[in-house]
Amino acid sequence: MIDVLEEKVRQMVYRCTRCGYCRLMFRARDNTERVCPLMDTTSGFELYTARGRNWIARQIFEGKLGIEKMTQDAINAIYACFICGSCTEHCLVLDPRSWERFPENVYDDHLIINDEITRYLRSLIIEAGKPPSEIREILRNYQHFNNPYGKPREKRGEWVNMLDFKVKNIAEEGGETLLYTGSIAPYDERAVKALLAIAKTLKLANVDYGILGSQEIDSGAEVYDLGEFGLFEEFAKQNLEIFKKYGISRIITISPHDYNVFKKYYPMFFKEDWSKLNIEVQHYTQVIAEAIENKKLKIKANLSNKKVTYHDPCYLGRKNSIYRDPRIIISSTGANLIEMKLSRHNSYCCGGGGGGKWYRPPERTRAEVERVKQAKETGAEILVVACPICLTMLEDGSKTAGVDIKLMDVAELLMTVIQ
Amino acid sequence: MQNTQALVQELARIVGPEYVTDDYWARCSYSMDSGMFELLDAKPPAVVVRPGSIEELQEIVRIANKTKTPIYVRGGGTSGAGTRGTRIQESILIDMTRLNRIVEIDEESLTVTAEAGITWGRLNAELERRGWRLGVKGPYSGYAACLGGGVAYNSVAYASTRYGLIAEEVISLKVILPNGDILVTGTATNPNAKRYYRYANGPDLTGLFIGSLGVFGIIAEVTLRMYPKADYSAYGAYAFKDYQRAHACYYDWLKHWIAEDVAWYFEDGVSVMTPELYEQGYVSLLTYVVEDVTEDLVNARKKLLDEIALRHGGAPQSPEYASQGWIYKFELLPRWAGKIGMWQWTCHLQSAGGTLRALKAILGYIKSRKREMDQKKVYSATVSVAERNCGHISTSVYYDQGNPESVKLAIEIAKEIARIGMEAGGSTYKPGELWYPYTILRNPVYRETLIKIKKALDPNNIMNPGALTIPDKW
Repeated sequence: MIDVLEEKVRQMVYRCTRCGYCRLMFRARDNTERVCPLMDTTSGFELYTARGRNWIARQIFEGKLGIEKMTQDAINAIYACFICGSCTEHCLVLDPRSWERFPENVYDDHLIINDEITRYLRSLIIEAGKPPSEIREILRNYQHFNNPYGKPREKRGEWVNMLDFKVKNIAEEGGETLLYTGSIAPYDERAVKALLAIAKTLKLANVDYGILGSQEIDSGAEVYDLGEFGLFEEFAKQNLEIFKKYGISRIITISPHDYNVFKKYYPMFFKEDWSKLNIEVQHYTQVIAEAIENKKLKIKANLSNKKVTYHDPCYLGRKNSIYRDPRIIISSTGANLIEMKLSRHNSYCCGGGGGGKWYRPPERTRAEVERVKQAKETGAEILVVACPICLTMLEDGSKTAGVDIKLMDVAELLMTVIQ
Repeated sequence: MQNTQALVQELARIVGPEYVTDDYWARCSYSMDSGMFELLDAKPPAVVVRPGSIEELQEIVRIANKTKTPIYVRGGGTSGAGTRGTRIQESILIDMTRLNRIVEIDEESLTVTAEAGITWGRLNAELERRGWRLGVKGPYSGYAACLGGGVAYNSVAYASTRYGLIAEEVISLKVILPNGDILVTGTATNPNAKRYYRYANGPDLTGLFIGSLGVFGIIAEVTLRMYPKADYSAYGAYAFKDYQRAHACYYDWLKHWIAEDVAWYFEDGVSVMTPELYEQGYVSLLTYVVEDVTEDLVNARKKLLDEIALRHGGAPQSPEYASQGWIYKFELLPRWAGKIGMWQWTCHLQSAGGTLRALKAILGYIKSRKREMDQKKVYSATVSVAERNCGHISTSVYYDQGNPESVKLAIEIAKEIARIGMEAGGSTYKPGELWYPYTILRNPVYRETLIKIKKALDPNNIMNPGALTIPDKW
């Protein structure tokens, strides 16, 4: 796996033109005002942004820099990245085959995926045994408990006990549609409330789903971001086996991070082993939006007196172009959606991606604080999200900043108007 | 240079500890820009610092002068011509990108003043939001390139056809001199006067710093002319089957001085944008852009440009050839790089009438090296963007960065094109290693005068030592 990625990264670093757009672009035509959130939140030296990291990667490839001599400052900078993908989104080194789509290019049209370069650098740091202690601890938790919190595996399925209806366990009762909870939602006090709303909504939409409970294995999305490729491979292979064993044909993910890894990295690294399973992967917002459009939910759109704004999660919007579905859900409630200036492909990261939820080097300010301030500027009273990491990060951000704005998952908002 | 630790402490006192670093890897990440010349001998500076105010910048310069520590100044880091002197390692690199405020949009004076670290992209956007526009929009890398760099480097810019090089739109500069003093040029030499005209109150000291690569001082603020926002635009494109007719049209378009942008793409350049034209036997494509505040003005200018093109036998083509580059300005180069590789500029000026002569020599040379270039993945794209009364030739040499043979050949080709261009009567506007052998180094009186000025202003030779061929040590 590492060989595949290493070759891709090598090609990418030699494609970088060092134009610096990933660091400084301000573009009027599409409201690009800040590409890299680290320019706001850190010292903003080159090493914190894609161009600098790409140059470092190139020097490592050329033997001019040795990973064993990497300094703590450099390690901090490389782990500071949220892997939010904004630098990739704004990079103009595009696959010529995609030029016809210009300027409406999608994430995968880019020839330099800066995220991969960061992950590769992290993998070298892991290999050299030099990750920051916080990262080490998170990885240890993943390894031993299959979740970042270090909580028992058995607790992964306990959230269903809070529902007033039964959710089947596919491992015991069978079923083809898996509601894949991931490793954040079932364990986090705030995120679990959103998970309950999602589960209820899907039930009302007559989606016949089940869970794997304690048998669910982490997708590997976060360990992959942290550069622990060995653990990612281990998790992924276990998932392939489980999905095969239980005949899963459809996965509905709660987290955009899990959606992204199933959608992009399982096919990339496991090719036929994945494709022959023929699994349809959806994010829950897609399923709910479809149900709304097919009028499977009884909704009384009575939130017209509510001003809401929506935060596009990086892994859902920018990386997978899912912008429409969450907005269909919001619009179905009748709420008055006011877009933030930095929205859709320009969305500003909540600060929780790429391990940011667990580890931050010394910062000037925090991304989640910046983001809730941006949300508040719209005049909205509710900030709607569609990702458990974003939900927890931005809720923390609102408390830290003392910003009076209510955080709601898009399903929680919908539940207030479902009859 | 003093002990690095002591220097870091002093700089941290000025800018705060988070904005200064001597971390080796952080410094290494600054050992590049967009050009190939830096790569041959990339050395990191001893310290990188990101000042947040003019006062902080001033203090940094004073410390550097006191300790005789060389200073290199970096904006967007998009230079492509080998401008960073001799790349002395024991130096302070000043990252200017926190100095990015618009100081004043002065409607009374019809000028805008901004700090040197603002990007051209942002300056354009902020002005247009307020109903104004720049004359020259900024260099082709303008989404990262900074205002100060465009002036210190004397860059060409979008709309240079109408407004000239960036230099010609500069009204005033605020410069931190090597001793830390602040010099303001133009009308503002009178402390009671605003910054509204460049040539005032004495000799034009503004010009001393334009194209200086910062060897005489650090440009901290720039004042440019501004114009009412242009809401109307028009585009045109004409293909030609021979160079002579294309040049006649180009010359006439340029002579009438009514287009914002006139570009002349050649067969190798055309292959970048329009292979289908080449297949139809066309060897040149001319495009124009006009923009103005009323539709009537735009239409009148467009009418004249179209008449000229038709008179010279131009075959009308889709205006998209012109509009794409203008609407998506600052976005073309990286897209091309994604297709054919990293680029190296060879842009230089020629007289309007003499452009064709030089072009023929350059295109002939490229043809003679074509086979070897193809083998080593080196490609060229030649374009001539008119600049007021001048022609201009730029062959971008594209190469495969991951292939040392390709890099080596690209350097050779670029140097040879520079030589041919200069011998054909060309002149470079932006300085750099590519040009010195044919310009400054061939003119001892010019060079000695530069050195005398440098010695007078910067006796400790701290500002970008080695640039402009000025010795790095006295």
